[in-house]
Amino acid sequence: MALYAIIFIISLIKFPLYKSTSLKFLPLIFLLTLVAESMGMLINKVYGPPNSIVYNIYYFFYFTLFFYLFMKMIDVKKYKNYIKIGIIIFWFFYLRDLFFTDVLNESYTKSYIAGAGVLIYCIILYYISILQSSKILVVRNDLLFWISVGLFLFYIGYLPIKIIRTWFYKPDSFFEILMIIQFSLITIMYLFFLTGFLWMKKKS
Amino acid sequence: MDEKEIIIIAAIAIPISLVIIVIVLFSVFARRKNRLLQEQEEAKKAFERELAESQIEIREQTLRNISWELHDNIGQLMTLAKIQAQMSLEKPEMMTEVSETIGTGIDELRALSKLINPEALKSLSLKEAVSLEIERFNRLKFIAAQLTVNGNVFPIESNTQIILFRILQEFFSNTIKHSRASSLKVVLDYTDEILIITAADNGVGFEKDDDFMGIGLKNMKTRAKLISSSLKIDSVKGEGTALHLTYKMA
Repeated sequence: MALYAIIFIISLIKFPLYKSTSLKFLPLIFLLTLVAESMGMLINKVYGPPNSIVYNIYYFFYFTLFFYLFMKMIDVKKYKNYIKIGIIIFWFFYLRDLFFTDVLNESYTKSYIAGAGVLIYCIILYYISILQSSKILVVRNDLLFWISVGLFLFYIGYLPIKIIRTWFYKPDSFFEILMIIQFSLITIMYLFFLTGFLWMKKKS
Repeated sequence: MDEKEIIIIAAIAIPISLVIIVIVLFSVFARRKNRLLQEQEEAKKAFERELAESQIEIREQTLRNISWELHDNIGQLMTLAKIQAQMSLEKPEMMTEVSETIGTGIDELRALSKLINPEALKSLSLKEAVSLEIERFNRLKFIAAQLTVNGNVFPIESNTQIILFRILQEFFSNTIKHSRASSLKVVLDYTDEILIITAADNGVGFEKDDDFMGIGLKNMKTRAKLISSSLKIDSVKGEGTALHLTYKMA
């Protein structure tokens, strides 16, 4: 929780450096994460599990905002259209979960996996677009590059965990190993975000 | 395979995969960056080479121009002044004509001195440099040349200007040497950081596979490409040749 708060505060401090770009949505995404995690914890403490409703709503905005951000930051029109298709796929899964999955008691796992998959796909398109342009020369100071590395590593690592936890879960302490990996992945992701904010240079 | 085995495999595979991904990702980016830097370095060298060649060619052209002017223009004027001076010994009223001829010669020398100054192009704008060339063509009666400038003239980086000028000079030189044209019209159109240069003559034109334009045209195109400009030369046999160059400020 402290990591979420730190990154949100740093994103606000560095906001003047990227306010004129589409990255201006980043603080909103971090705020959403902070609020969702706080509410998730609060519901767990006050009412007890499940707290799925918070995450089910949160992931919709979280993924959509990241897709929009990558779509805006990629210059290649063809890739923008590919991302639009990805957004439609995610929304389709979300709509399906909205109708067929209990929003209060069940996690929207399928739409989460679809969202994470589409996000990885957006990041790959973003990398290809960077590799094809001269942006590669200044990538070290590009905030979105570090954000994307963090997200990429997190979702590559977390997707198998999510699948195992959803379909193979047993109330067994052995599963705590996966929790440790999950927390490590979150920490690594946020450390990459932090690197991005600290190394970033003003973009226009 | 039971759940425990799946978890153990996942717990080992995930960190290993992530390490591999990080290594691959950063090495791919580093390699691409190095290659791009190398390409940029090569492009820079090519630009400097072309720039140096352009400067040498401009200087050579200038020397040829000076030679022509000294021989065909100032030389003739001095010869005329000498004859007039000899005649004025018998007819002193001719001294006025001698004075006028020498005056014209001095004016021509002044115009020529501008061409001799090697820093001229650096201190002149493209418009001024082209204007001097056009003036020279008209003064020496090489061709009826006309320059039109549209829009607000914006400054162009001096090295780029040298290359632009050399491209035009090459075209003018071809027009005068080979085209047998009677007129040359040059338009410099400045609009929103874009300069469109059009130069057209009414000469004999050429076929695309004519050799004499081949090398010159290739040179011009290579140079235009180095300053991120597009160059097009249209020619119709018997009607004339036109150059279209679009330069966009970086």
